[in-house]
Amino acid sequence: MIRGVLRHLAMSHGRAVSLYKRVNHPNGKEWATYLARHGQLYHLGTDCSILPSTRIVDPWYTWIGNRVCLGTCSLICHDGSIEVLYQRHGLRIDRIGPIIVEDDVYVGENAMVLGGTTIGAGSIVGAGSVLRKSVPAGSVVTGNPARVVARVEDLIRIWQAESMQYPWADLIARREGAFDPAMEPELRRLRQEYFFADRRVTPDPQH
Amino acid sequence: MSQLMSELQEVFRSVFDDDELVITDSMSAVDIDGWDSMAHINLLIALEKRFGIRLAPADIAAIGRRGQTIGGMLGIIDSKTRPVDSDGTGL
Repeated sequence: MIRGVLRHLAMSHGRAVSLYKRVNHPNGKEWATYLARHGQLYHLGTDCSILPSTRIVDPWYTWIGNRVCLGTCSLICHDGSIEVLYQRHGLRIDRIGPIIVEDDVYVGENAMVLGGTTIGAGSIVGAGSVLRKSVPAGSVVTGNPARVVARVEDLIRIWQAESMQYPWADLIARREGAFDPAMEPELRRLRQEYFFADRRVTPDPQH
Repeated sequence: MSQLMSELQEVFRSVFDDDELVITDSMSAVDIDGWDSMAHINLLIALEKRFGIRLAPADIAAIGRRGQTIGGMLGIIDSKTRPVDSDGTGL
């Protein structure tokens, strides 16, 4: 009941948003829906997933396409150092640039995307990357400064081959999407058996 | 060091950006700094380019197997680059 009210207040009126986040723990899809209505982004496409913990610091200069998935990353269009340059040197400088995230992009945990960059369609930005310049469509980028380490088609070919070798490959072949709660307990059991095969806890005969 | 191993070492030095890196048969991912999942993809692509081969899914899986050694990797590359005899066996 309370969750429904909070959701309505947030989604329809942009009110009680902090409480809505704390109580409802909206998932990425739901939070993206909220942002599309009240997030003040210059553009936010459809079917996106954006975690509530994602920091979109300058939404007015942020353009996000369709089916974009953002982990807990930061998108920062401005350079905060101009404040110090003004205070110390009296300089009146503007340092800001747009961020454009094209369709079907994934940005991983703790990545930082800085102003003046375009992430080309279908690209994957690895966890912890610091993106200071644009990357072409279909790139896999990692590191600080982020650089292109592979093409997405290569990543797909390699990951598909590796996935097929897992003992739970048949489950993955039947799974719709990246997560299926019904399948998860069995997946977790099989993964634990595989990952920790040589670290099984055996009962201590002394106790 | 065989010619193939020498070429493989050049690939490793390029991928891991370490001109001093010396590889041996018994080394695996845990022995080389920076051999993470992305470096692994880089390495596979670099191997394909350097040796002019296309790794099959089974090769990719074998190279990516936990504990796989550079010696094992070398064997896979060797089998892909070996000239095929008239009988087609490559033996």
